[in-house]
Amino acid sequence: MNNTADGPLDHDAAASRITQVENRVGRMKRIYVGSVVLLGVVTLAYFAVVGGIPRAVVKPYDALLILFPVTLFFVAVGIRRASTSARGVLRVEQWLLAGYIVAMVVAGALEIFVLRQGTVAAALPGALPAGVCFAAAWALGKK
Amino acid sequence: MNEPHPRRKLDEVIHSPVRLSVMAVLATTSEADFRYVKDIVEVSDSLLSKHVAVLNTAGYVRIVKGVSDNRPVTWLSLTETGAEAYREYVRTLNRIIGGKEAPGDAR
Repeated sequence: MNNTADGPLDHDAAASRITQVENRVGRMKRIYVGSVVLLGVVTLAYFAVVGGIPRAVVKPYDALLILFPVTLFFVAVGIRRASTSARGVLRVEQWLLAGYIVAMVVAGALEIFVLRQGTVAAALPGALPAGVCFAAAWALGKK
Repeated sequence: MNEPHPRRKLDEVIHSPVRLSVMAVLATTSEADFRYVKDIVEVSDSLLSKHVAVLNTAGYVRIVKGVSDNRPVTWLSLTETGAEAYREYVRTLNRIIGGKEAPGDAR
């Protein structure tokens, strides 16, 4: 499919074009919903590592924590690019963004002020923002 | 008198590579912004605009302009007439290619 494809269309080509477009849309949707799920999984893993593993163990690897925002950035770009940006989808995306930010702040506060690092409980607050992502992925998958 | 060959029933408005692709995208997604359709169909802005205008004039595609995140967005969707015309086009196409698995019939 390109600019030169604007000529006559035979019937088999028309049928294959429809199939091709449907496959592309389907692939795009899988990338889209998959990216939202990935955002949840990455967030869950981040909090599990930062909270669940004792500080002394993770301290030498602190520099690797920069990978978290970098990964978030690329996943967010993937989500934006694969989105149909339909109005209903944009509404869910806005809820996802707002819910994710609030849940991240709450999870961060729990990690810093309430839970002791290196305990199982401290590994769990990531479930809050991850849960927002999984709920959004479910809602977006139905659209 | 014999019934005319099904190819004579193919909607000429839809029966163009770009317009068919646009209709197929919108039939699958229900609504999408211009950029998304452009990415899927892989055509230039101007060519897509030209074909969307043809579909809009035929009453097949609804165009809604708005703003999202402080940037202008053009949302495209099929009208009822457009959806019915696309379904009829696919049915006719399936009759022509005779018994092959129908594109779009999986939905």
